[in-house]
Order: sequence, then C-alpha cells, then structure tokens
Amino acid sequence: MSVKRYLRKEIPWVLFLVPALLVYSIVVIIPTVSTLVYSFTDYNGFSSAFHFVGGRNYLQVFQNKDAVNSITNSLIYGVTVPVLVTVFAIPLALVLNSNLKSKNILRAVFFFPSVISTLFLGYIWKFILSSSSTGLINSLRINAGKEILLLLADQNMAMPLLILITVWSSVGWHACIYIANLQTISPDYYEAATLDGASKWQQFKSITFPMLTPAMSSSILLLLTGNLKAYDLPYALTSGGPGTATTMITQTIIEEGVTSNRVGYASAMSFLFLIVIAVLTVSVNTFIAKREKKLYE
Amino acid sequence: MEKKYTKKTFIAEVFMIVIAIVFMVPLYYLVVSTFKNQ
Repeated sequence: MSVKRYLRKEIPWVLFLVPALLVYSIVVIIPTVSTLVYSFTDYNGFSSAFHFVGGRNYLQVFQNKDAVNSITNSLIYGVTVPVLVTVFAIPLALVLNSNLKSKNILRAVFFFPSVISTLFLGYIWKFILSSSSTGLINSLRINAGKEILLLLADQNMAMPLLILITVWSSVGWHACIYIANLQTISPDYYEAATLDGASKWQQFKSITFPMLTPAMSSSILLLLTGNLKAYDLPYALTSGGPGTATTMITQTIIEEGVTSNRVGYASAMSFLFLIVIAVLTVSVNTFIAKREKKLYE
Repeated sequence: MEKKYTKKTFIAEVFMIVIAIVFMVPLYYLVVSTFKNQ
C-alpha cells in the first residue's frame, strides 16, 4: 500500500480523535503543565512579574508541618475509605441480591445517600454530631442525664467519624456495582459446587469473591481517586478541624493558593500530591489487573 | 435455580429492614430541617 493511500485511509480516524484530544488538552494537559511551571516560581496568582525559584517551594512543603499533616490525613482518609466500603459493600450486595421480598426497597434505601449532595450530607451530620447541646446525639444524652460528648470537636474522634460518614454515604452506590457483577455470575457454578458438597463459605471464597474482581477494580479505583482528593464532605463537616485533625491536602492547597495568594507554593503541593495519587492508583491498578488476568486464565 | 424463602431468609429480611431504618435516620433530619424556619 502506498503512503498516500495509507494516509487517505487512516486520516479520517485520526480526525475523529481531534475534538476529544482538544478538550483533554484544555482541561487536563495545559493546567497540569501550567501547575508544574508555576510550582518552580513565586507566582502569587495575579502579578505577571514572577520569578523562578527552583525547588524552594517543594522544600517548603516538606518543611511545613501543616502540609505534611494534611498529606498524611488525605492518605489515611483516601486509603481507609476504599477498604471499609469494600468490606461492607460486598456483604450488602450479597444480601440485596438474595431472595428477600423487600430487596428493591432496600436497594433504594441504601443507594439514596449517594444521590444527595455531599455538602448537604456534611451539614446534616454536623447537626447530628455537634458537640454543643443542640446536636442530636448530645441532646439525647442530656435528656438521659448523661454528659455531653465532644464528637467532631474531639481530635481523636473527628477523623474516624468522617471516615464512618463517608462509608455510610458510599456503601450503597458501591454495593450496586457489586450487585451488577453478581448478576453476571452463572448459577451453574453454584449448582456444581453444591453437588460437590461445598459449604456456603467455600462457595463465596472460591466462586463469588474471585468472580467479583472486575467490579472490585472499578469500585476501588473510583473510591481511591475520589477520596484522595476529597474536599467537600470534610470541609462541610469539620472545616478541617479540630485544629488540623481533618485538614485534607485539597483544603491546604486552596487556602495557600487562593486565600494566601501563594500560587507557586500551592502548585508545588498539588504536583507532589498528583505524584502520590498516580503512584498509588497505578500500584492498585496493576495489582487488580494481575488478579483479573489470573481469573480468566 | 429458585431459592426457597426460609425462616432464615425472613430473619435476614427483618434484620435488613432494621438496618435500613437506622441508615435512613440522618436523611429524616434532612427532610425535617427543610421544613423548619431560621
């Protein structure tokens, strides 16, 4: 085939890619490259006179205790939530996929928190868990003659409560992903296993759990990428407090970049966190892809 | 293979309904607070 004929055949396909590539460049590539460039400058967000400062912003991130603390918080939150959601969503999916008469209503109930804005959810839970006497839990405790609990105002309880609320709001939605996958598993496998005398646990361990790998890969990746860059729920619930107990990296980036006008420093933080997210996501993806490949061998 | 609705299934159903009610408590406050004035 001549080069001219080859190009005439292939160019229409390449042209189809142009709109998507253009949007992707404007929305992702250009902002990412700009962030990388700004991270090596002292840019303040509005002045056109900014200077190259080398790796100073990156060094400052590691020297700033608050930045390191917010990266740690984001990592704790971003890793714990996917683990807990998976642990609760799989059994929930199994129950909601059984022959319960109310399974359709139950599915709707468990899915419902995913429909509401996370900001609203944050405000509702803030009211329920408020450390003042107006909070739902504390007003019930006062009526029962008990002492007020600090709850969200307690340094040690704020993060576990935040994780618990995120799990509550995400478990139904991720259970739906698992239900969809469960419905694709052929009942023949279970029939054969029952004939071979396999117990329910053995059937789960050897049939259900490995067959859920495709759903698990989508669910875990969605949870991991979504929660590592979480901002709305933690901010609505605790505004990063008490102290810096629930301050996420996203909140620190916004505060530094928008409120303190340190765009260069905020860009360095964003870029470092982008690397952390990329490494984590690629590692988890590789691990799941290996499991998936094993499943079809 | 159609599964039978046993006594165990009924207990599971009741248990799940109780969990669903507890699960919905925060959403009840969302509805209640929308009807309250400042």
